[in-house]
Amino acid sequence: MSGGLRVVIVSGSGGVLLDTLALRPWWQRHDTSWVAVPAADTEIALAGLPVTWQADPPGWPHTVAAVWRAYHHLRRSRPDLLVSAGRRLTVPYFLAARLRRVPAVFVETLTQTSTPCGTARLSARLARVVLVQRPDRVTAHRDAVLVGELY
Amino acid sequence: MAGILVTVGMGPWVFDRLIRAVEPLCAYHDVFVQTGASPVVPSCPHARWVPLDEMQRRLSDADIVITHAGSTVRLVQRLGRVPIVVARRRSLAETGSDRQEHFLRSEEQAGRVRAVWDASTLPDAVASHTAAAAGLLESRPLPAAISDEALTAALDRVSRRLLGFPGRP
Repeated sequence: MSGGLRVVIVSGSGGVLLDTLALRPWWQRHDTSWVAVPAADTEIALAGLPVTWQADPPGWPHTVAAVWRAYHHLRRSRPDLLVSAGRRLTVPYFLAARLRRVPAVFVETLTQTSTPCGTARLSARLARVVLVQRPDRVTAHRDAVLVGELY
Repeated sequence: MAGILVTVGMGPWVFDRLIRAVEPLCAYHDVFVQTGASPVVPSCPHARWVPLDEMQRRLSDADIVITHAGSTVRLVQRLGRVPIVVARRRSLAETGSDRQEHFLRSEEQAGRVRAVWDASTLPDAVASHTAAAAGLLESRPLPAAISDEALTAALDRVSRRLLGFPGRP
């Protein structure tokens, strides 16, 4: 597949940023834009790329408003695929992707060696496909694809 | 005197226990501490947040890296080093899950890490690190990362399956 997809990547800082940046050989071939949480590392690593800066929802009660914002963002950007490695912001975007019937791909971090909890578990359940980095994580999800270690 | 980098990651959780534990090292080594969300201020040079490119430079330059059990572990290992790792604990409100403890246990069994479960023993771990790290580097292989070509092919297959077409015309 030599380019041509509209891809939106939702990212935060730290390991989430590393995982999404590691997908660069793939996403740089597509029309990729970002939704990212502002932080010292994201602001520099994503400089020059099309980024919509958005803070994590401050708590679960704010999720509905965050889904509304995510829904409108996806309506404007019309992505073919949504990709994220997890973050509180991922959940409203994955929910909005469900509503807009945009397939979402969740990248599970290498440090996930057992049953995830909270945001990671919810994101994995909302995703159509989960990319896993460890062979023993393939059976942990409904539809997992083993890609190996990303970095 | 060793050049020591201490990093607690970029997340919103404090890790005061690790920052306090490195304090005794400041008098004897060239220590830089990335303190993240922690309000604790060490006596050695420090910064709350460090951009990714600067962090990668600091990781390369350091003789010893002391890190929380996050993604930095692999970054250090890919540089041919053995990190000293202290896991954040959910029970101490240092993180929201047990992920770091599980990951560190997994790495401790088969990987190139020196796990420190009692932070008060950190100075001992630093003192003995050179010899211990050499043994781990010799005996424990590091899994290879996926190549750019294989990654692209894998994601192309996933995209085709999800979208049912080979690309926008």
